[in-house]
Amino acid sequence: MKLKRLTTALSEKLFWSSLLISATLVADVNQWVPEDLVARAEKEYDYSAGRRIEDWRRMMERVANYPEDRKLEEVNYFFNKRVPFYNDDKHWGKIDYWATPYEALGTNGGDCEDYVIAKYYTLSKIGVDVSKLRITYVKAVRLNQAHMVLTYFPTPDAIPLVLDNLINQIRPASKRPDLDPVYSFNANGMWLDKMKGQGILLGDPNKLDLWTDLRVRMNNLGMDL
Amino acid sequence: MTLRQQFSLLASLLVVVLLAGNLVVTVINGRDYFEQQLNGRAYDAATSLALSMSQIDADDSVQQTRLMDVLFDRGFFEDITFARTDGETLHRRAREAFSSGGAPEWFQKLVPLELIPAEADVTRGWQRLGTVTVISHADFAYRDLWGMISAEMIWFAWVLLIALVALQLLLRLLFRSLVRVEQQALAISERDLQVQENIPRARELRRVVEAMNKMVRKLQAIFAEQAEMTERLREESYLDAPTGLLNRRGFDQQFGHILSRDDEHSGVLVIMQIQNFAEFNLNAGRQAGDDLLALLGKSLEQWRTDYPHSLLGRRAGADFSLFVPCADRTQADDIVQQAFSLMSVSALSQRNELCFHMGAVFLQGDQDDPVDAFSRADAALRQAQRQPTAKYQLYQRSDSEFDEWTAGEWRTLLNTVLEEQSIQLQYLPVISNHDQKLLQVEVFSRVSWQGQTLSAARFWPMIEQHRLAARFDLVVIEKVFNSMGGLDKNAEPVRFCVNLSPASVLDESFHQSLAELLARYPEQARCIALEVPEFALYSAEHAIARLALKLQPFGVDVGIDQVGTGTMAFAYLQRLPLAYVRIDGSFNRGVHLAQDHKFYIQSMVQIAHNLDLLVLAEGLEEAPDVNAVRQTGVDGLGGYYFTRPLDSLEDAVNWRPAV
Repeated sequence: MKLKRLTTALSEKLFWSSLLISATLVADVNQWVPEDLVARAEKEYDYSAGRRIEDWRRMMERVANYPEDRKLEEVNYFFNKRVPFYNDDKHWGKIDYWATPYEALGTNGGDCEDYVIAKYYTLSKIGVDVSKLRITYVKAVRLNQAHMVLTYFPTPDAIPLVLDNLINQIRPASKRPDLDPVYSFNANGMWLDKMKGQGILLGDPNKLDLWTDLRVRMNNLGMDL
Repeated sequence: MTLRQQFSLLASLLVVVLLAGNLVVTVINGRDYFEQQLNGRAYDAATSLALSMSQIDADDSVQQTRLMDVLFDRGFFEDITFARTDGETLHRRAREAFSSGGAPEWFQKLVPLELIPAEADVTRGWQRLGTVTVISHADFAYRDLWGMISAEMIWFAWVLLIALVALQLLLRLLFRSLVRVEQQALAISERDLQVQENIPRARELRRVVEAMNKMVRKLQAIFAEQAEMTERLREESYLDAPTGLLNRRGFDQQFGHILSRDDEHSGVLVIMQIQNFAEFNLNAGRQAGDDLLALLGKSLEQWRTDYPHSLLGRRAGADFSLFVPCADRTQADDIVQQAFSLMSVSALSQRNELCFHMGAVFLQGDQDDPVDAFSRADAALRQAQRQPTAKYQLYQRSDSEFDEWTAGEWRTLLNTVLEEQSIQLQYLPVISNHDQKLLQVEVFSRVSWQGQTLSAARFWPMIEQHRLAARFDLVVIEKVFNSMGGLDKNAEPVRFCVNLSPASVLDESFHQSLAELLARYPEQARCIALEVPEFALYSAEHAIARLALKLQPFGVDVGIDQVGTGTMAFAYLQRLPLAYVRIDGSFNRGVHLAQDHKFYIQSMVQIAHNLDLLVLAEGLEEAPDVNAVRQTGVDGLGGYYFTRPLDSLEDAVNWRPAV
């Protein structure tokens, strides 16, 4: 617990210092989304896919210096707007495929997990402390359907804000009676880092859980999740 | 370090490195696997615990702690903590590692398991209540890992053991032919020229063996060539081609040596002349004449088997000379008569119409002039030739300075001497040619009888006639052993060389008695050498070889003396396990004047040294001869020039040449 508090304090410090020297963040866009991914998407998918990746890069560059609440809104809106919703089995040919943002934007489609992943990655890169972010398994009550959203905790014990692909507006969880939370997990941590390291070293992501598998694939694309 | 040791060390090292590397990889892989499993289990446990706790009413803290207890009591986890979001610990279960049943402490220190606390959020609806942290217990992993490593190490030990044993067997098999090559090489350096019959299959070794075999054959050929050359030289110089007997020069040389040496001699000189041989040659043809001479030579050689010490020679044309050792005038008379009747019934019988005469003289004493001896024999011959028919005549001397005994008296004499062991030993030092030190001691024997001392020249013919040689030899050897008892044990060991008679060597019961005698004196046996005259090889070579083999375990050396007097081919030097050869005194007498004698000795030295034999020269009396013999490279010298035979063994051992 001590360790966690320490890292939280450290990342807060880093956050404030990053606001002061925001110019450096702009230069970091190439580390967030490598430039060659645009050309790669054009080659792998089509021209518009490349444009969408490029737009994503531009958006990150643009909002990197915004206040945190604006960042949430911009990122949420970008993905809800730009990526059409499809179910996994229709889009990827297999149930429960966790796609990278590159794949979601490239194929121009994704389901709830893909939105969550894309938003999580983008926010974590443009300076939102990942200890405030949780990936939450929920049940969409009206649709009676398994769903996933990204939640944002301004303070550790606060009611979180919900970033959902069903609605474009970000609301506090208390204002979302249509969603029933099941379980949320911290996508970052020593354990996961370690497992990721082993997964990458072993080069066989199939044996790991979906999240680690995803991180390995992201890494292969040059994006450090 | 031998090649085989190097090979096996290298291969063993390789096996150990391979197995040790395997062990290290197993440990590392095992550790990684267990670490991953433990961390994975902790993460799964944390997730499911948090999920369960999230489903329970937030105020029911008892229920929540019970959930943690359930998980903890399974025993797989070291620490389970539930903390609020602000970091305050609400409930915690933890325990120390088990003290026993796990792996040894050093192993745990050597192979650390990095256990990561797995965290999961406990929620109430959307809100976070806190975090559960789960750490796995390392004990089980250590126990399993240790078990795995122990099993591996036992396996390792077995594999190592089996691999090393198999390696040794394999190397022994592979190196067997190499060992044989090595033995052959060592044998060659010991001058033992052996051809290896077992040709190894491995190409390199096969070539080495073939090359060595080739070399051995070459060396054998060189040796044979050298020996043959020396033999031919001797034959041409000293042998008479038609009869195979000594020529005049050979006879005079050996006869002269016997007569003029500073030692007693006793024997009969016989001259035989065929009167009308020239006519026979003319009438029957030269070839018939040669055939007759050959026949004569052959029958004389045959007769000689009874008198092995005798000298037989053809002087010129149809003149023959014989010298036969004998004890006294009576025996001399017998011998001349025997020789005469042999001739009359064989080669020179009446049908050849050849007439022959014999003149003889009995010689006994310390020093005689050979010329004088011949003139006396000649006088006897002239007397015999007054008769037209075959006749023999013994030279009559007016005064007899020696006692004459009958055959019966001789028998009593010898038996008494052997029973009372009244044999006197005399010792003649042989000195090294390299550092003037004592090399060995020759042992001579004399017999005392009624106040007289009889030399071997006088009593030996009687010993042989009465077939007492084997008994006599045994008595002498035992007497030598007894005299050696008082010797200083710390002194440098010196060989005492005792003569064996050919008759003893041929006697199987003598071999047995000798072995028993040597077994009784094992310490002294290592300090004696037994020697046989060269002419004995002609009839007794196999017996000598057998005897030498029998003597080897006792540490007794075997040598050959009177080398050069026989007509043996030198090949025996290679066949018999000899330690030394002693060149006959007749070769050393006047060697400073005779270039061919010197050459003969030099060749002998070369041949013997090639076979790692010592070469000794005996019977040296004159300073110029000593100097000449020294130059030939012999190993040791002996003779009256240095000293007369000494009566005491201690004196002989302590004797040093005057500088």
